[in-house]
Amino acid sequence: MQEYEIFLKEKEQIDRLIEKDYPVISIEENLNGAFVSYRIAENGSSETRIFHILTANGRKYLTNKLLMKNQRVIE
Amino acid sequence: MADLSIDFAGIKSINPFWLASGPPTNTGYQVQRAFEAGWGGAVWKTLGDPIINVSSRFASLQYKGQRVAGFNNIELISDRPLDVNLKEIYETKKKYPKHAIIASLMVEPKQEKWHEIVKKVEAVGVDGLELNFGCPHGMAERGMGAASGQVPSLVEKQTYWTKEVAETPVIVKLTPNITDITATAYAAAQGGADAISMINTINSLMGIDLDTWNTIPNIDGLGTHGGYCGPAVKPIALNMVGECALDPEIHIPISGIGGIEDWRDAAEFMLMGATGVQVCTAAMHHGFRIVEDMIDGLNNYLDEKGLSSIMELVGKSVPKYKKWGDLDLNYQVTAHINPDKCINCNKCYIACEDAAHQCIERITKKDGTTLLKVQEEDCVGCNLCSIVCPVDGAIDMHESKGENHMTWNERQELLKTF
Repeated sequence: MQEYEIFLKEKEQIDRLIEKDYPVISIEENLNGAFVSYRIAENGSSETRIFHILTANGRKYLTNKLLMKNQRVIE
Repeated sequence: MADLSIDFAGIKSINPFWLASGPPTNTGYQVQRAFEAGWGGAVWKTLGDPIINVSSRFASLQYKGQRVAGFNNIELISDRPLDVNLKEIYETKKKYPKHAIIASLMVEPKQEKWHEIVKKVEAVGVDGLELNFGCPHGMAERGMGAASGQVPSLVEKQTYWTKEVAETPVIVKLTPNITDITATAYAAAQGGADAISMINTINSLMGIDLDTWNTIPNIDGLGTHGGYCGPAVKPIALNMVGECALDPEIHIPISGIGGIEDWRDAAEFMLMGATGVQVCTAAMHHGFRIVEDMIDGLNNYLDEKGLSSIMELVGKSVPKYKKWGDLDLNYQVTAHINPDKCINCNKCYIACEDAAHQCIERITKKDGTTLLKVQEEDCVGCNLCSIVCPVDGAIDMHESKGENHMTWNERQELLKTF
């Protein structure tokens, strides 16, 4: 159950990332999971943040969302 | 009733069931009895330079009451004079002209040796030749069998030498004792082979006697590695057939061998790309008459499937056999325990708790009895619980598909864009 709970939190963050349409700068995957760098531009200033995804389901969810987003852009 | 006849690389056979080269095809007496029983063809026990066998020769793996789950042998090729075998092949072919007789051959890797034996066996009317590049024991120590079959250049060269003089189709029998069987299959095709057959036996030691510390089988206290076959090797053979069937560079027919016991096994090999099958261990275990059930079973299966010819089955599963990276990561199966059928043995609970993802909950009800329940959100769909469950239907795997399709390869392509 613990891993599922971690995934739910990751999913929430990923949904927010997609919903807010924050540009993803890079996705680096290494032995410790995925590190997603994205830019937040608010109130005239921009900031780069890194989001660490630990779970396999989280990593899968992120790429699914990005893939679907790309497909929508193409359509 | 469907048409079971095959045309295997130009060799016509009344059905796809051939006896593989081995003890059941040692003599004309045996092969003729096999044809009477219904076998469509026989690959004669390997002919070559004279050998002498040892005694004892066979051993079997008996697993939890199942006899001959696996089988091991250290018997070599035919120990009878070539002329005796040729005479019996001639007589058998004359008596059974519609049955396929293939001569299995093994000689030293020398051009003149191959030319000599090919001409001799073709002169007595065989329908094809099978080059034995597979036997892992005994002959390999003399540079033949698997010793040749593990070196692609030797496979290609010897196939080429055979094809220089052969007038009948040449089948190259491959050893599984190699990392990538497509390398030798490709070499055979490059050498001009008309077909390949697989698998020969796998290097093995059947066991150790815990009282005497002798290896099994033993010859006066000493043993040697043998060739493993029988039902236990079927998954290995099926994969190797699949790998060759998938390879676009290997465009020659495949004869499937390895643990085939009944019509179902045969159908699986043919679905995976084999145009025909060869059987040895099952005939040694149960006798030649098993072919009757194989023929009936396959006929009924084809009728049920609405197929008029066995050839319509060949290769139908090949497009479904992919690289791991081409599988959909979003497809999900989840275990469901059926309380009406569950006997609460806890096998699934223990397996999941100790060796999987701890997603089965054991709930104690008010009356003191227990109920096993899958926490679906944690279930990864590994199948372990349903595999260990002793009751059919007590655990079902329910499938669901994701919103979209995404393979590992597609995912990696996406990641490259960031």
